[in-house]
Amino acid sequence: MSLPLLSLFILIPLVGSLVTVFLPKNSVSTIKAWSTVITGLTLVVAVVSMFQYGGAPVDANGMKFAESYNWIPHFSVRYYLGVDGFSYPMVLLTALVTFLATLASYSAVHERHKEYYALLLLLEVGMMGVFASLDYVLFYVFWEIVLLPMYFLIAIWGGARREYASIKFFIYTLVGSVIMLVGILALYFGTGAQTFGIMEIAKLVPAAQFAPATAMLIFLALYVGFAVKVPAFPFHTWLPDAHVEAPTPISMILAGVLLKMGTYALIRISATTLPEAARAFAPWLVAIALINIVYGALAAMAQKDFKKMVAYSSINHMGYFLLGLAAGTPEALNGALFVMISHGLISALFFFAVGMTYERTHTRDMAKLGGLFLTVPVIATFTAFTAFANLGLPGLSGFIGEFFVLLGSFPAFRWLILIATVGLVITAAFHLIMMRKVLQGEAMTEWKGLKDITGREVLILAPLVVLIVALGVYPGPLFAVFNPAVQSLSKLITLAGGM
Amino acid sequence: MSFDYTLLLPELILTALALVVLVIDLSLAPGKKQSLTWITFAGILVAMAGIWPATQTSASQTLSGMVSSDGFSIFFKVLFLTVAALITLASGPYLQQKRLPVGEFYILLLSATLGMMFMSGSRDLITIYLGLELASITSYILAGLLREDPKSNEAAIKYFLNGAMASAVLLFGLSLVYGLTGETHLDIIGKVLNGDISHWPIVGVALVFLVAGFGFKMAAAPFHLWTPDAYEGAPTLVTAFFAVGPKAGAMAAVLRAFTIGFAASSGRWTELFAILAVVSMFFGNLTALWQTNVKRMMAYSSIAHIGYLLVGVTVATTVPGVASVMFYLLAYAVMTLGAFAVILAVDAFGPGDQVGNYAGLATRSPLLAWGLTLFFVSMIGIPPTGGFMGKFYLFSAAVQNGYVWLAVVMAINSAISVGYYYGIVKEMFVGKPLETTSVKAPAGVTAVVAITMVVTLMLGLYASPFLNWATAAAALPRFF
Repeated sequence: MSLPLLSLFILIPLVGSLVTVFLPKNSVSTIKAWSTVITGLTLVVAVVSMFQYGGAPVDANGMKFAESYNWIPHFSVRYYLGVDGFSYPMVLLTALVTFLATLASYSAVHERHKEYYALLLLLEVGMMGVFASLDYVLFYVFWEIVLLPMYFLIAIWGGARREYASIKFFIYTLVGSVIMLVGILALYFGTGAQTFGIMEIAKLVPAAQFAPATAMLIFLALYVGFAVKVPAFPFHTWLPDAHVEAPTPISMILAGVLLKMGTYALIRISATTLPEAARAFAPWLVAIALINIVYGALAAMAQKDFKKMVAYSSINHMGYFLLGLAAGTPEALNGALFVMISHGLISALFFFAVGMTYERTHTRDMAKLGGLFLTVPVIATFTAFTAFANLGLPGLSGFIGEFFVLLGSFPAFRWLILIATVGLVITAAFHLIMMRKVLQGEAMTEWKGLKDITGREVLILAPLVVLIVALGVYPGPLFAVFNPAVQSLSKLITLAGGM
Repeated sequence: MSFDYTLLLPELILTALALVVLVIDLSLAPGKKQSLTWITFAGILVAMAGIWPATQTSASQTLSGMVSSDGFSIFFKVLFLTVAALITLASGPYLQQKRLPVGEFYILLLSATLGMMFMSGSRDLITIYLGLELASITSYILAGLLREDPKSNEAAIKYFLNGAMASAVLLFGLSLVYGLTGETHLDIIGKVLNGDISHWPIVGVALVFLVAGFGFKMAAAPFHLWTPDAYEGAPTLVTAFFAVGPKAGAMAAVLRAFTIGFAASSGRWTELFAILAVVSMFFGNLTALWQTNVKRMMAYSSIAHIGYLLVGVTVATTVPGVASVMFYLLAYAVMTLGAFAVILAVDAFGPGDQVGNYAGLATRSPLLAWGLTLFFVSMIGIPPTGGFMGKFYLFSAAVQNGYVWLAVVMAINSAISVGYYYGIVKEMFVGKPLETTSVKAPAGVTAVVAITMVVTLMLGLYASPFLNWATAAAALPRFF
């Protein structure tokens, strides 16, 4: 294991992005090919790493593929990368979704190609870094690196209200992350740590004996930063705007990967570092989770805009993650992590499906669409598949995660879970309504003669569809990756007086 | 050894250079003075090389102990000379285009730099004041260099009147200190005042005068009134210099004077600086939100940045406090000069200095647009830039010394500042340009943008050597 795999995930897109800057502006096909090669190469490295993950040695913090160098000794900051059951699947998901988003960009982006692809690659750098870094400062740096390309990608290539949507996204996330930084520094100085290591500080927290109020304040500071990204009610309002205005590939990344930065940080940092405060916050988190589930579903049902409906359904799904995290049992945590991966695949697919329809009809108004089964049968079938996956049909990956979350949180919250199941019903309802409006019915005259799916689009859909089915039928391997990390976290939670 | 020339080598080279430029300027025909740019630039590099001997000797004081050449002053000398070099690099075509007097510009720039170098090295009230006045008087003239432009005249007059008053206030404070202690040397003043609280009420009055005087020079709110007009009216190149040089000079003088001379009353003056910090941050950032002229906006932004720096001065009783101010000054100088290089290009070789003039700059001149974006990102304090590293250092120095509330105020202000930087970024990337031709920035200006971009990123990604340098330099003078 001499190859620094995790650094490659960061370096390949970084070099790719820098080279893109120096490519000639007008050779669009070169730029496209280059970015595809780069994200493809990252994906290849990801696939190769899968064969090594099982047998890879772990370091003192239980991390695989670990790399640690001094970066800024002055602040005892290290360049410390490593992955475990929480982060490794996210790295794989990032590699896959970014590659597919690059392919999807071919038809979604029509101007300023050079800047677009350079920013897209930079975005991948940031996302990979967030999931791989185990040092707070490094983590924060990558967290912020994600912010800037995303702002420009929405602001320049977005829809009609892109200025509003992009700055709203920017302000929400920036304010959240500044508050998070205060929390990080409080942890550092509070524990008297000689390092910014995430795992090291977590081990020092019990000895620091924070007063419950102090621990809660630090927990909340971190929580605000993470919850904005998730997004958890009441910090969710940027999401429908950003998703709707972003171009299709960026929506795929936003929903597929970016939201998971928040959920990942909640589980990696908040739950692991401050388990007592997390337990004390759990009742609130349940309430927030249920609001996300029910309100997200109801809001989705009320939408006329196809894309906005999908956006609200993300809020709904993130509620299941929060519920699983609040419960803290091994089943619920496994389920929550499964929701992250599964939603990453399904939402990317769903936004792509919406994008395919939009690129052909140039409308997202569900009232104006209709009868797509008759006009573009293949696209419509895939859209229907996605909708079923999203509403949690057994046999597809969406079901597994939500099932385990509900199963695992029932012992903790009992009848409160009923509220979540109400959410399930509403979720099913709005998907069926969508399908009736958009896919079924008479073929509308203005959509006759639309071109059905292209080979490139099949190429983008296929891996997602295959994975959604495969994980739905045979989720075992993924759980096997999660489980070691989940077991050690749930031990911490038990010690903290949880279930 | 009371008079060691090697320690003053950079100052002597700079003085000689100013005289050489003066003589050559006389011998060149009007309109044919481009060679002066390169003579000045080369001379500044020689002066920078002249710092080397001072780093090799153990002696650190000269002129009977009035001036010291320690790590602290060497850090600032490098900073001032770098600023002067970058300004010179960007100057040639600009001076020609605005028909500014070439020779005078360089002589004034060099003299001001000389003054600032004395401010950072002085251990004596007299030399501090001399350096400060040399830097100030040349600055007044620089502000008014556009003789036909009423705005430039107004800038010079305002700067002069306010500055003269500030000097008087400062001098009065200094005279109180002299009256109390009978001394002008900071070390001795520190010794006399230490442990003798009977002087306190008068020392307190003197402190207020000194803080106000230096506050004027560094343009901290509420002593900032001259800043917006001077920044807007002065030639853009001069504004770039104002935004960095005199502020850093005043900061250097404050760090040395207060930590050595008034170490005993640090509990009092840190409070004063904390108040100035909060007022400057909020006032600068909130007022900048309403500006439509970019130079004016940058004036308020610079007031806010002085506020951030004063957070570090508040905890300057510790080495991390001083070092964080020095590191942030470095980052601030680099990103501010870079931003002004872009502003200068858009102002003198493009549409103008209003926010609306930046519409579509990203498609017209991508390097300028992305450069300015990077500098703004750094000013907001977002990684991976020098601005982030600097704020992180100030932040942690404040938290470490129990000023959590001050750190929180700083965080809030960083978020507010997004508002006005965003206005320009939005114009550049989303706005529709009136013309589509690219903004033809001269090679020197482009070079400054490129250099400062690289250094801004370097200060964020490879900060260790600079942090170590600042820390070593901050530990050297006798603090406490």
